[in-house]
Amino acid sequence: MNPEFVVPIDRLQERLQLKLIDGYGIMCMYAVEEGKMSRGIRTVLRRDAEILSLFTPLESDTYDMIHTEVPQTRPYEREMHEMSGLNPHMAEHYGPQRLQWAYKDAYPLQKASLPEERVFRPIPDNRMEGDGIFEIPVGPVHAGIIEPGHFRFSVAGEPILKLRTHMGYTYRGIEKLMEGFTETDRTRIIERVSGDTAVANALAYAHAMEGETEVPERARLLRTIFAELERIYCHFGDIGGIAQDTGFSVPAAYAAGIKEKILRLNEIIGGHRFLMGTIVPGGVRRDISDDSLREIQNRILKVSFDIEELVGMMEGSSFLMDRVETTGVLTHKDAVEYRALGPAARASGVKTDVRKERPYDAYGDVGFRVFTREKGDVYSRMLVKAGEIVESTSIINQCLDQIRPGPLRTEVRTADGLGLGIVEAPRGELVHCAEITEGEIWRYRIRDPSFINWLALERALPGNIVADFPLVNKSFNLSYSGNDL
Amino acid sequence: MSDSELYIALLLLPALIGAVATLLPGKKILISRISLVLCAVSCVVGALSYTAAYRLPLESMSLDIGPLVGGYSVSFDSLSTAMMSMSSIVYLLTLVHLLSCPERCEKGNCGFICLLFMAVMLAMCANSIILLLVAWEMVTLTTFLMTKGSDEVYRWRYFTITHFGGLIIMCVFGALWYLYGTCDLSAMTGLGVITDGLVSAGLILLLFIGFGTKLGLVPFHAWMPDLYSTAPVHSVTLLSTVCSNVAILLLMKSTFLWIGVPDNTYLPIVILTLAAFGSVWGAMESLIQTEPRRILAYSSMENMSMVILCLAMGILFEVEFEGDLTALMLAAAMLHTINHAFFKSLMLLNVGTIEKLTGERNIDRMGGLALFLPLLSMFALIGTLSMAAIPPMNGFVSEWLMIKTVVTAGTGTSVLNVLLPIIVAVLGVCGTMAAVSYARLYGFVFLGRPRSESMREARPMGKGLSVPLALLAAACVFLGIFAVPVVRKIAVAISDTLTVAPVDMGIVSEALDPALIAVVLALVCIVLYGLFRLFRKDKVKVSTWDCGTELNKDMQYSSEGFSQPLVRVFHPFYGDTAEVKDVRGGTDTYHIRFTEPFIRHILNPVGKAVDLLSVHVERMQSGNIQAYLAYLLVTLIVILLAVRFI
Amino acid sequence: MMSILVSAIQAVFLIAVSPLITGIVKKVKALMQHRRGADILQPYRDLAKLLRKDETVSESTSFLFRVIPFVCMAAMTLLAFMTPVFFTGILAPYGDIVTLVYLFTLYRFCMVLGGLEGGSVFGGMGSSREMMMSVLIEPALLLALMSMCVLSNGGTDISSIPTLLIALGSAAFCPALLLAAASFAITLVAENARIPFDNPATHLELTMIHEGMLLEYSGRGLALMELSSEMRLTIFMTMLGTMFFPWGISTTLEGLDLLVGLVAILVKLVVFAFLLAVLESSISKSRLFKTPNMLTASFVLALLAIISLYIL
Repeated sequence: MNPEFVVPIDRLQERLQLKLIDGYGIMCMYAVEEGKMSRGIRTVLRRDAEILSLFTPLESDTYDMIHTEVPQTRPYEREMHEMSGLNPHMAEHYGPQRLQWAYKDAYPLQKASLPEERVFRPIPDNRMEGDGIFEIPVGPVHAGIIEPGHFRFSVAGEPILKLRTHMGYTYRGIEKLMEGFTETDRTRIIERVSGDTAVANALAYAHAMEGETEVPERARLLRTIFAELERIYCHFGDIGGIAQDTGFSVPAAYAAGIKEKILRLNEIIGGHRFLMGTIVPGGVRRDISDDSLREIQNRILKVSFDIEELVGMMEGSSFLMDRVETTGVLTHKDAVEYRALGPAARASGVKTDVRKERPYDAYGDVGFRVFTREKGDVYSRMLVKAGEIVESTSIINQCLDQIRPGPLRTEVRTADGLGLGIVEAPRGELVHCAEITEGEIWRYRIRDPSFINWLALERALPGNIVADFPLVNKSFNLSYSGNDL
Repeated sequence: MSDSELYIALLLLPALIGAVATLLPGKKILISRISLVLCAVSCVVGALSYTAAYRLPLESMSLDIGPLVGGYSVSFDSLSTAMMSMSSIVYLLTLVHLLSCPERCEKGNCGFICLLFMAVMLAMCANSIILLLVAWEMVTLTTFLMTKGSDEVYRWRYFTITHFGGLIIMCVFGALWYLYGTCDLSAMTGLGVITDGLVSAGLILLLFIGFGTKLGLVPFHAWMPDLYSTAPVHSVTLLSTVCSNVAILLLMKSTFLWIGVPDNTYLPIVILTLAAFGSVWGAMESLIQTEPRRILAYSSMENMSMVILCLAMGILFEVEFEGDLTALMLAAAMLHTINHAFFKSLMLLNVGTIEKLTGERNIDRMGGLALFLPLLSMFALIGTLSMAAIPPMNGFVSEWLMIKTVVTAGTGTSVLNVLLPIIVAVLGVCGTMAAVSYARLYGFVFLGRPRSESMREARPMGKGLSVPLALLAAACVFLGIFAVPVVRKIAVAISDTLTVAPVDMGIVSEALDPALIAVVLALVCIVLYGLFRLFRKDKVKVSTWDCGTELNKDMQYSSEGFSQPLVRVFHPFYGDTAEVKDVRGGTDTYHIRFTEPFIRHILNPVGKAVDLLSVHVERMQSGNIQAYLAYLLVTLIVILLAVRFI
Repeated sequence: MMSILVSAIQAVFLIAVSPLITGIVKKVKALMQHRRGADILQPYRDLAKLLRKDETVSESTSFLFRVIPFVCMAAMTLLAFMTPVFFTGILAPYGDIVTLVYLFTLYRFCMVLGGLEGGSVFGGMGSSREMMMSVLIEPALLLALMSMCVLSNGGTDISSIPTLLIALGSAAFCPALLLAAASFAITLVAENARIPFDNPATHLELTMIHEGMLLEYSGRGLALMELSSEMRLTIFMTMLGTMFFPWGISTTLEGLDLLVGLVAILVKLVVFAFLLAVLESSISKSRLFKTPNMLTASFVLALLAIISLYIL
């Protein structure tokens, strides 16, 4: 079990700063309601496989905020303010992060029932002044079929001087829902946090519930295969999206074709194009026939050629290379400071991958490389994703080699305390924290990688031109609903 | 009294009386009005000069004032009278506009306006060097005095630069007097037989520089933007249009008639380079200005540089082709000068009207005026289209004529082979750049949503303000649609007056019929509109597309933002510096600063010296009109005496 | 009389065939992407649909907004009259190549003002980018056409260029022609908001240029704007097909010649549409601030064309 420490609120900042110097990163931070537990702030830190969990009891809702000193905590403090009502006087100048329609005199995660009345939270006005400065508001209604989110650029022409993202248009109250319901329903809900991260979310949930439970080997291998298949189709979609946003229609169509083939493969093996309903706490829900496994093998063999072809096609175009290189640079410094996650961080030279650092399921039994690039531009992110596709095919092949007939599922013994599920979703480290008391979930916290990476996106854009924003955005390809929950 | 004497009397006396009247004590407004009306009478007479010159026939006549000051003689040739007529019309309409702005009718100012009219007319029809120089000095002085209210530094900068030019002009005409041995301009028909071509070339170059100071030739444009943006708008209008007309006319006549084009290829190339650079520079700088008046200042610079470019091309054609296309090129220059006078006065008065009605001067606080002042926006649109050379407006015709003439010149000597494509490119680039700048001017003043409350509170425009604007706008359209006969008249006037070969009008009339263009455009619009009226559909009023967020006034493009891409593309030329100050937790600020290299590297050092000087000269300034007039008189007498006894 | 009639027919032909050309480009692009794609007649249906619809107009727009679609359409109609399509003679002195360039300016100027109407950010963005490109497009266009004038040695008259080029025969195939045609082709792509300069198929407001300016238009206004921009593409292709490669065009008013001319221009248009689609499929959109480089290339090509004419 992970060590847990109680840190008083006035020591929290100092303690976090020390731990960050030690190489820990803040993985998650959330407020816990009074009731079966005492009121406080839970902070979960991680350094490779080491997990450190801090609990800070709170007497009142207000405390001295620390995000100005510890930038990593900024999104979490905003979130605690929005969702758990801490620091009700927190300056409104940040604007909505997860919640567009707030409750009057109430906050969404409170245990008491919520009032009917909701108020729209206005987006704070321009905070940039100067010669010819104006604002470009984009969203929540976009011209394409994409998720809703509001972006506000402060510009004086083409170069972006400042970008602020305001999310919360797809808030569904998932964390609250997770506190009730049966396990089956919870699995269903959790798979729908973010459509293309169904497997990773189900997996993280399963891990959070399983605790010390030993999952059968076949199930672990199958889970790994599913997770990697998800990564492959996500990354193909992203790379195709980069081509699409640069108006390079042929590679875009090509990538879409491959993605579609994998989705169809998913449907054959898992019964669902996004592999929903395959993973349950304790194992996997259903077995995969040998025919299907062979099918996977055949398809995966082709994928590694396909990705080579696709990247070759894109690198062959000097116009495209010109657009992706040096565009949307997330510097190594920013990536570390804000603890960017997943391919976005790896493209900036941060070697972070949960699969390697804290192997789960079958990742400890397979060999693979963690792809990093130094430059942090769109091209680096594209290459990291392309490289990960290749590694994923290798992981799947290794899993297929190791797979033996065996049991699929075991009984889950959920222990009280903090249940953690940390997996490497296609977009990066996904964390599920379950505060379990008396066998029930008291507080469930989902920390999607997008929640952090939206801030990384804000950092990567200034200096780029407005016309390149869609491209940079696509190279991060963050989830709106994963952020909003 | 002969016809000519009567005409001269009618032309000058009312204005003179008007000027003298302002010296009377009494009700300020009434006297100002009376003097302006008297000046307007002179303007009407001036406007008829072109017709008068044909009908009466006005012979050149001399006014001998005595042995001391020599023979003052004037002459009315068709070129001068054409320019006089057009200038008078612009002058008249500006006066009408001024009459409706009582707050601008100061007594002194009105007196100077009367004097300026006299000076302009005399400078255009002067037939003796003395008269010409005196008139030109009067033009400079009165315009300087009319800019009262502007920053002293800017006024004195104007004073210094134009007097520098005036000095050069004086020297050149002095040299002419010396070379010809007479001060009678009608006796001067070319230096070719008298002296070396190099002397002529030198004199012409000096003249271009001298008049260039008034026209805003690079690098003498430094006074323009600041003075334009601060001086009273009517003074600026007259300065920008009528005074430029005088300068161009004198430049044309002295180059092609009094001095004569020497057989020298380098001369036109030098002027051409300066003018080409100036026109592109003016267009580029006008793009980044945030005050409509400054935009128009740089636009004047651009247009006048283009006219000078035409004159230089005229010289080049004269040298290379022995005058085959010279007249056409000069006609283009002349037409563009006239067109410029009309659209520029329209736009400047328009801007003045906006300032009067809303009190705003900065383009970033305007926007959406088309909704609140629809009539004004119509006039402004016509002016903008003319300035941007959009067919079938007048600006288009003159730019067309320029490019057409250059393209028609086709192959020639090796110089032309290299130069012509470049000239076409320059004309194209600066024409488009200027169009961008004017689209920006119109778009950010009249279109979009208001950027400040004063737009919504704009006061309605009175008849007195709208009539002159309407007439100027009509003139822009008229000169565009009926350009071919106008070009014909101008070409005839040019070949009559100057020593150049007559124009083959077929080049123009067979290639372009703006009237036809206008008719077809209008017909298609009307037919489509009719069809749409016939099969009517509903129109639903909605708010502008906002992606689901309410738009505030900052959520639309700013004029700086609009020109930013071009600034970025031509970054090395602008010398801009931008900085973003990231204030944590507070308001971030962004600053961009443009410094004109000419001002920084050439004129600031000179300007510092001038500033130093002006501190001393300032003691002379009592703010009393009588004192100014006394200075004027003293200056004139000193000049006359100096000229007489040299 | 006959030539007036033929001119009118030419104009009507250009108007009628424009949506088809766009349809062909779209179809070929779809096929390149392994999509079936919409029917080549789809642009006609789209126009018909738009014409049947009511309009929504922003309340912050002025009269100009309503007038602009008519003026754009009128400018394109006039250009359709002026351009030789299958017959060289044109009706009357509407103007010459210089006028032609300035009519494109009229069109663009109106589009830009339309983009600034309503005060939406996307309109301003499109207008500002369009203006950036136009500064380089127009001189290049002017120079490319001027070099054809010099090559054909027939002044600036539009109709004399194809006639004299044909009369020159194979001598017309000089480097200058190819240089000028290359410059013009780049201008064609840029002026018509095609990849790599702009992406006509994009839905991303922030990257738009041409579409950004049209964002506030709807219903019949949009129909006119769409039709006029389709016409602009067709007119450019026609100019490429008749002024740079005029072979096939009819110089007389005889039935057979006219028929040959008609077939020739149709074939040329389809070939150009195909080439454009291939080009658009094989490269991606360029970086916004790299487009001036390409336009400068076009400019230099045109300049080279003229200078090569004088020197060679």
